[in-house]
Amino acid sequence: MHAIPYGANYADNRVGINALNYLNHLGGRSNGMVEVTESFVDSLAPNSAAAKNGRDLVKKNKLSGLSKSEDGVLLFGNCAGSGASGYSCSADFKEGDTPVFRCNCPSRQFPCKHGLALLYAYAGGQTFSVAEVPADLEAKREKAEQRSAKKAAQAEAAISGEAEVKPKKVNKSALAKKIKAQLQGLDMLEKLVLSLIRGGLGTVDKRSLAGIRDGVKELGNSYLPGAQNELRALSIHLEAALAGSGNQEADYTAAIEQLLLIGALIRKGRPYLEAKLEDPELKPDTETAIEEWLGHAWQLSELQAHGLLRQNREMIQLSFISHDDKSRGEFVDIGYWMELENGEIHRTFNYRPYKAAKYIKEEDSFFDAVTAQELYIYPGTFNRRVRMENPSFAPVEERHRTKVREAAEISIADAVKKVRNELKNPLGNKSPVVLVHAKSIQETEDGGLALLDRAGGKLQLDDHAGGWKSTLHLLRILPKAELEDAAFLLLLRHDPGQFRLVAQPLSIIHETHITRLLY
Amino acid sequence: MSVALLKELYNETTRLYIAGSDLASGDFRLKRLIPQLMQAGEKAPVFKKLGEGAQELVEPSAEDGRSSALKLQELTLLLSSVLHTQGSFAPEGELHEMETVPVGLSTTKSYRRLAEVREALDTTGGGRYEIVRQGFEDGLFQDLRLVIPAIDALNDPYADLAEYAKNEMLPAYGETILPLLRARFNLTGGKSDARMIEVIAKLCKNDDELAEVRHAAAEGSEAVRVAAIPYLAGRAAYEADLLQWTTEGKKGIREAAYAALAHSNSEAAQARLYEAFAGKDAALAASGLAGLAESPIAARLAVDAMGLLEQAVADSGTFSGDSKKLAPLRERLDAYRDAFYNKRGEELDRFFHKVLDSVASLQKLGWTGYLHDAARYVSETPSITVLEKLRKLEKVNANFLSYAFEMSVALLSPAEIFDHYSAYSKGVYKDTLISSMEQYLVPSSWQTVPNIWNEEQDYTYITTILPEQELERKWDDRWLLWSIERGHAVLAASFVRSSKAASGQLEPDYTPEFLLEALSKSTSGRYDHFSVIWEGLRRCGTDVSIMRETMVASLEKQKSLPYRLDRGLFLELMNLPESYRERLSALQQRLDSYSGKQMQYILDRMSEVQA
Repeated sequence: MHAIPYGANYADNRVGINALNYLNHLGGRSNGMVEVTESFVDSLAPNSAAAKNGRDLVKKNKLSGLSKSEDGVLLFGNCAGSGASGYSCSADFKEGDTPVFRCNCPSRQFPCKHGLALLYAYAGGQTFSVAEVPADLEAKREKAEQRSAKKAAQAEAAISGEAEVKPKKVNKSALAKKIKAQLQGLDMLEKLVLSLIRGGLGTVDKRSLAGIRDGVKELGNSYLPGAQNELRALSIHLEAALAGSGNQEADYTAAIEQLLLIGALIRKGRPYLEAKLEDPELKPDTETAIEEWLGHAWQLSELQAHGLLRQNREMIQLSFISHDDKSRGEFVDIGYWMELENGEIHRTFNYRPYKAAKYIKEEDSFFDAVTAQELYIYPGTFNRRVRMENPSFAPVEERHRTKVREAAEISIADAVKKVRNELKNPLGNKSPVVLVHAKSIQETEDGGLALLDRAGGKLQLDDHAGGWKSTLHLLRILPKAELEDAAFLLLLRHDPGQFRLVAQPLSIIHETHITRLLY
Repeated sequence: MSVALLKELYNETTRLYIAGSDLASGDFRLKRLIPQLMQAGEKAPVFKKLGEGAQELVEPSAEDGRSSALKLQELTLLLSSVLHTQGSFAPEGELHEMETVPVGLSTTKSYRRLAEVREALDTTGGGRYEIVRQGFEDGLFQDLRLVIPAIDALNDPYADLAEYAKNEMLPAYGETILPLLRARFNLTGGKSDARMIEVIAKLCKNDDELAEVRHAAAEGSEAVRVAAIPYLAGRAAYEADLLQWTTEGKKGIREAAYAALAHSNSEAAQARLYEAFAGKDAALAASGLAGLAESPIAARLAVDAMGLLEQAVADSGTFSGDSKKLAPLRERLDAYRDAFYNKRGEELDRFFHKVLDSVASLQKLGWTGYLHDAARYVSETPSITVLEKLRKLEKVNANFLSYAFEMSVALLSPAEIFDHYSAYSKGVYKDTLISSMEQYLVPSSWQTVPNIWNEEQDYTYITTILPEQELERKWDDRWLLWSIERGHAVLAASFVRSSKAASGQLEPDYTPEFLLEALSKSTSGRYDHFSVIWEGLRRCGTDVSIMRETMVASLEKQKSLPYRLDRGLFLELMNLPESYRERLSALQQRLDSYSGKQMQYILDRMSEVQA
């Protein structure tokens, strides 16, 4: 999959939805305490391995001293580890339905398997006897309570306008220094790329490859993480071409596409930065993703300041994919969502750098409708990145699906036009996703499949190459009725080697249900 | 717009990227395209721009300071943008109705659950089987997206996984999956197709569908045929085919056909099996019969086998057992031996008794397998006459001792058993006798028992000791002295009777001392001998404080302590009074991590008991 130009830094790791809020929804309430079910605990786990480890601890009888506080909102116990003494873990439902986990194990994963095990044991119906809360645990709970009281007071003060929000001060000289470094980085990048083109990709050997890798490292000092990722992607393609083990022609084609992208980035980025250097007060470009290509990590407050915040938006996830982006060195979870009010298709991104992948919650397919009190829209051109805040959840109903279906493009020609318009922009979304209404799916002469619209327009369907899960074959094991009068979510890409537009179906939306072909 | 011209230009720029843009100057292939581009440029300005870009590359002007690389980049960037709007998207040719094979499954499972299983099925390496199995048990395979991977699992390089798909995963889908399997099934394929036809055969509901299996059994590759043939067993309609296949050239096919025929009681089928024993296929037919509990031709085969046996006995005078002359005879007899497995009958009785009557000849030939078979066979019907035959056999080799010994235990009095067997006082006969006796007196086995000290399960060797009542009924008291004289403490401990000890009639009277000595040596053992000897001492009436002291002192004396404390030892250490705390603490310092934790548990418990 094509690298997407967003700031790759860890702090900017924005999850599509605040997962813990989902708890309110999953575990129905009973007697003041959330009803803890296995799937509820599953959803708390950062990833499926952690969930499995937690369940295994219960199976192996590693827990002991299962207890609860008198009011039943605090569960605690001990869990045997490899050492002589076990770990004391607890799950605290004091703050409503969102449990606070505490454990004295050294794991950086949160919640750790011990805390999860405690809840699995509870969900499994094991007996928790009422016991006095240990003093150190009680002290921690009190501190947490004080903290949240303080926070609430601040929030109240903010609402009543007592504490004025101070505008962020810009350190102009630091900014200028940063922009200069970025410009120098672009110069270096251009020099590197042009000398590579002059010499020819065919002459690339281990030494010149090492030179490119050095360039990747050097870009790390230039505040250009977006450009850095693209140069790394180039080195990966060239390395593959050099190894010659796969399809060398495709590797070269990909490398050339990558060179063009870098060229476009330099061409657009340089004047943009120069203008900014001249006028530090210049309003950033919020129409395109150039800021993020250059490595800016948008703060929610900035987005709000630039009018990129929408209130109370109802969203439905149409598809989900997680992939390993080698050029970024991260796993990327992408959710495709429709904003029901206007039919726009957005994306949520969750980045999990390899080194921290164990500790960051892996996103998952999401089957309920979400109403986000705040929907932040990131600058970009097609399937813009969004982030939902303060969400609430409800089961997806027919009215939701009807809205989704109504937003589908009726004409293939129109849909293709929109997509092409995006694809021709070298810094645009190279994998745009559109929803197209299909009258039916038919078979082509060479045994492929094509989507037909009501006006008789035809669109060849295919699977994307390069590590993608195939979905096309699934159409052949669905009932024919599922493929007629349905809205197809399609991911399109230009195949430069074949001069073709490849459309892969991701999901099918019917009146009664959504069939997810990918995830 | 001439897309062909654009594509051509793209191919030329690609070539220059690979060859190097410095070679663009004067490049005639690129130059060739310029006039066409310019001409097209009259209608669409973008072509003109492309033409100019190409021109600047081919004939760089002196005043243009841009490098060839930059020019190539700019030209191609524009070209690429244009091409991105020109990619074809409509299929060529006529469309027609598509065929679907609906499997009736939904897509309600989430990414996190599915991805793990798909990853396991798509890759190689350890741990995959467990993930797939768990996924199947959790019902994940009822998701549309896992059906095809489940079928592909038949071809998994890890055979256990492929077999699991064949036996569990795919049959669970039921008939709905049949069309998919049929569409993928390759009649002339290898192992995965052989597994596939088995799944198809298992899911077949009626004879029509079975015809497809028959077709595979007749026309497929060898692997497919061997897999399909067993599913035709016991059906009259396919008997003729099975008969036919017993005459084929390929051994695997013949073997499968014989095995299938064995399930059919028809005369023709049985006749063919019977005939086979006279020819080269004897072993193949025999392996088909071996798995069955009875066979209509067993009696006739026994009569024939008797003839061969007589011939072997006659030949044993002139030939040795490994003589080439006797090899064909041996091979034929072996086939009969396989065929007789698990079967009984009058003719078989006669045959096996004849085997026992021919001990000397068979022993001379070294064909002792028949003797073991016969001994096992006659052991099912114990009698004094049979016992006599087994005793003769026992004289030939200690290996046969257990048959006669077991029958003696069943038929004879304790004194009679002792009188006969105590004579085996040394050498291999003594060792065999002792291990036979151990089966009765101190049987041991691997068992899963709860670990006391950490709530886990433990797979360990557990030895139990015969209850005293049983001992009195079946075993002569003289065995105690016999065992002690042989230096066998475990057996000796099992022969101690507490009533004798209480009345001072224990023979010999130094039994407790002998056992205490043995106890002190058993604390590092791993076969649970400690608990048996402990029980023997208890039956002797030995003071428990002496036993405890011996136990602890023995541990203290050992230079290297055991990695784990044996279960029996652990239980007795747990019963120690507080006064041992210091000594145990000292021991704990010297123990390994595992046994150290066990000892820690004991020490913790000690304080609880005291409190």
